Amino acid sequence: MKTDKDILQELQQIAPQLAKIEKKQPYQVPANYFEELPQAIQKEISLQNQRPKIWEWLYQLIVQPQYRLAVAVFVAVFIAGFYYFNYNTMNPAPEFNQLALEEMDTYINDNLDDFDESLLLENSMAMLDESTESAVEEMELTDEEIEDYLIDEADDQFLEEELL
Amino acid sequence: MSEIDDKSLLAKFRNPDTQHYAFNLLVRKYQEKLYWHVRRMVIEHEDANDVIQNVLIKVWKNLGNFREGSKLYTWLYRIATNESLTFLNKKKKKFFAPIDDDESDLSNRLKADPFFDGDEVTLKLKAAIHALPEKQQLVFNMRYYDEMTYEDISDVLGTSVGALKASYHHAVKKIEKFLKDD
Repeated sequence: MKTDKDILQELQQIAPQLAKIEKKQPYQVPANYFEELPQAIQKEISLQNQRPKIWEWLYQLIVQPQYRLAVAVFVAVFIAGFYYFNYNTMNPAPEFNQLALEEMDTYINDNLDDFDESLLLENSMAMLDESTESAVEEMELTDEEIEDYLIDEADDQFLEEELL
Repeated sequence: MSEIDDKSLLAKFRNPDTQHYAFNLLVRKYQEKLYWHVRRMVIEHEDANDVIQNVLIKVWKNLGNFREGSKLYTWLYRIATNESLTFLNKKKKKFFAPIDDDESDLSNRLKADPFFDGDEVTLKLKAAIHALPEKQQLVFNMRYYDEMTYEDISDVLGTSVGALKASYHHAVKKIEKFLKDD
């Protein structure tokens, strides 16, 4: 065959040592491998053909009369569940920091008996301190002005308690 | 039994009554060539068996779309080549590193392989081929072992004849050097 000769001549020109090596197939296969391969392939193809595709299976399931009621119930439960979980996700409980202060006050006043008195007192004092501190910061007073204010306005007993 | 020509085989495949029979004939006609083409790339029989099964199932699924203007055997080789490369890439990813790059590793694997029966020269030739880049291995194998024309290799790999000649030339030179250096 012309191609074989061409290939050999081409090889002899480029790689004389390689051209001298006898071409042989060193790999082997298990006994009867090529006799059995066509059957193995046919078997695999038959198996693949038997396996119904998921959409075909679903279609068959839906159109069969004996399953219609079960499918309808399943779909209804699925949709109800979907809406229920999505409603909770889309309308979550309001965050504490999103509530208006007046709303909280109203709720606390209406349900005062449910709260621990000491806890309420503690929180009120803390809020008072914070609001006082922020009011002082906003005024941007100098130390001297604060001293003057304390000397003029505070009574001696208070100064003694705070400074000593 | 004389081999059926590809045109008659395809005609039988297109007839639903003789489709399975025609496919069986196709498998018997081409299985060995395709198997050895795959085996030279993936080396081990178990891997080659997995790949050849995938190849032939793909052929079954797609033979109906085969255009008669092309050569059937180059189309089959193309599927076998792509499946072999896909298999090798998956194997590389699975082991997180290039495999079989080391010639001594390949020699050891082949020596331990019960389905390898080659002498020292053959072992060295296999190691030299395996040290080539995958594309050069494919070109070399198809030209050296399968004695395919550059035109047919071009049909399989989708590369120009000129580029294939250069690739084969480089591959052969590298193998010659590998053999001489030892």
